[in-house]
Amino acid sequence: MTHVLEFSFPVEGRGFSKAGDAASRVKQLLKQAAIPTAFIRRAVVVAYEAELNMIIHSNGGTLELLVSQEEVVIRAMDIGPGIQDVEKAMLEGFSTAPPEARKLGFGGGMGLPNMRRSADELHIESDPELGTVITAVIHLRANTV
Amino acid sequence: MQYYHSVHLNEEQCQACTICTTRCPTEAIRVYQGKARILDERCIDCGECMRTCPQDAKTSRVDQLDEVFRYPYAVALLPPSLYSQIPPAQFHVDGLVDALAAIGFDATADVGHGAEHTAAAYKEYLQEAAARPVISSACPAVVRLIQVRFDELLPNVIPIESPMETTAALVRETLANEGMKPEDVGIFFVSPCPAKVTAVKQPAGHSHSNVDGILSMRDVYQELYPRLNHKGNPGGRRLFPLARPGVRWGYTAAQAFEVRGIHLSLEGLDQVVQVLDDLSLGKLPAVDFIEANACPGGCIGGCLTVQSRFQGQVNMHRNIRTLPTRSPLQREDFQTRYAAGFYDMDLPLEPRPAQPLHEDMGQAMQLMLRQEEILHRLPGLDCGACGSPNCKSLAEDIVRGWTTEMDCIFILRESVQNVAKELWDLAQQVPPTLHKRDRETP
Ligand SMILES: Nc1ncnc2c1ncn2[C@@H]1O[C@H](COP(=O)(O)OP(=O)(O)O)[C@@H](O)[C@H]1O
Ligand code: SF4
Ligand SMILES: [Mg+2]
Repeated sequence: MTHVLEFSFPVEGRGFSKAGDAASRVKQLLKQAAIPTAFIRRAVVVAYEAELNMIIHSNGGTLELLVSQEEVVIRAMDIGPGIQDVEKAMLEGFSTAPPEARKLGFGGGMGLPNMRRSADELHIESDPELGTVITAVIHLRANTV
Repeated sequence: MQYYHSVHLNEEQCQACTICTTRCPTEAIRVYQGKARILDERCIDCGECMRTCPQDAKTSRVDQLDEVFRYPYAVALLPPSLYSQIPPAQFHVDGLVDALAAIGFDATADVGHGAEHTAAAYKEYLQEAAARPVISSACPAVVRLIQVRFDELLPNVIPIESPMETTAALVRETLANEGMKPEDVGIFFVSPCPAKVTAVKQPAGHSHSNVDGILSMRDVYQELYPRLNHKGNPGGRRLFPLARPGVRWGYTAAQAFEVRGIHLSLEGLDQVVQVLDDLSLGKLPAVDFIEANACPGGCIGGCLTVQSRFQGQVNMHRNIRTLPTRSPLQREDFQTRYAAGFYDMDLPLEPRPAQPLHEDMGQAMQLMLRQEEILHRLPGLDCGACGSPNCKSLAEDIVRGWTTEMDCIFILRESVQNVAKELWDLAQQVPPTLHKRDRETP
């Protein structure tokens, strides 16, 4: 699938004060692209959770937004340390968030489950050496609203 | 769709300083050809530009006071904020009504009374609302802001009429019960802000406003002040009883005070925009209710008021003490009305998204590609000298076809440099026939 639009936003590990900046840009850009509101809402949930996870759990990375008339793709790529057990990570309430994140109210363990609910496809590749790539796809077809 | 706007520019006074362009919360202002322009589909009539313009070039349309005399029975709707304008030494709750009678109003009705109804309706609604947090719809500028910039939050906006509309409906009903013909009654709101003007002239959430005219609080105050506490004033008529809780709606935090649960009280558009941004990311999930006022200090900080926001606060603290503490709301009457939908908006709040670059998704995406390309060439200083609020919006304005890259003084300078260099290079070229002569002339 080739995408007409490609944007990328750097995300800093532990950059709690900037949490939401990338997801906000995603929202603005999708609005400019005339994507219907219901899809934007889902894409923003995905983008925000992916951004947060990079901030809380990773050493930093990039959030990508890819858009065509058929789909919106949110891709979060970080430089490690990877997810130990992906299946477990997908469970509602499972969280390894460190105390500094919990102090700020993060770490409810609902991020990945919410991403799965909001996206039509969710792919996770993780490697302790290479880091984690999470790809979420939202199909822009009316019947998936 | 043709949008009505109360806020507009007085061209002669505009010096094209660009201060308003960067302060407008919806980036609705551009400076083109030496004058500020307000983009109709974006402006929310908040009045921020009226507040910030150093030349006072922005004004609000309002109705003239003599409109009042066209109606056999004229009613003044008094917002809580009016009670913050009168110095405590001159304030007397009945004297105020008599002075309004002296101006020519046959009766007055307090929006503070309607607010008691609204507060009770909010409380009921909060118990049943699915979407959290519930956002107050009392400030029309905030409602417009959500329609224009945050349409994803429209399901959170409480679909209950503003205290002003509810009060006007109560006035209509009361006077109809007395046998008055609807066309004989003129209801005039004494407005602290331009957003209320628009809310009456082009309502959101209902097809027709019960308010017939909107007067500026400044205009009314000028007539009112000299008549306060005159011995010869005729006895005025106040249609509804008034108490402290309703009048508190002139401040921030009064609404939140009324409802149960976790709440935030916001004042000023900076705060409002920040929280709406958070909400649209799903932040602040534990909040039940959000009171949001576009003006700092709440309605008493409206830009059609006379007193400064702080003087208003001081006056209000003192004046409000002369009012009864207990709400005059009758429980049974309220329950019947609530069940009958008396307080409900009769139309859904529609999105008014101003952001898409084109209605067609494919074309919008092509324009975005160009926009990114242009943005890349702009210096990213957000200096505003081009007349757009920042580099990002200049890039957008260019792809919308409103302006060109040459509006950017940096690009202009670069182009001039290039042309100058080309000229210089050309000047070095000597035509063959001049070669010799060149050498001969000293
Ligand atoms: N980018 C990531 N890098 C490393 N671990 C991650 C990443 N994203 C998620 N995880 C792991 O998956 C768990 C569950 O994630 P999530 O459902 O978002 O809950 P939470 O972020 O609240 O912990 C996290 O606690 C963490 O162990
Ligand atoms: S009234 Fe508010 S929204 Fe309209 S142009 Fe002025 S600052 Fe912008
Ligand atoms: Mg998470």
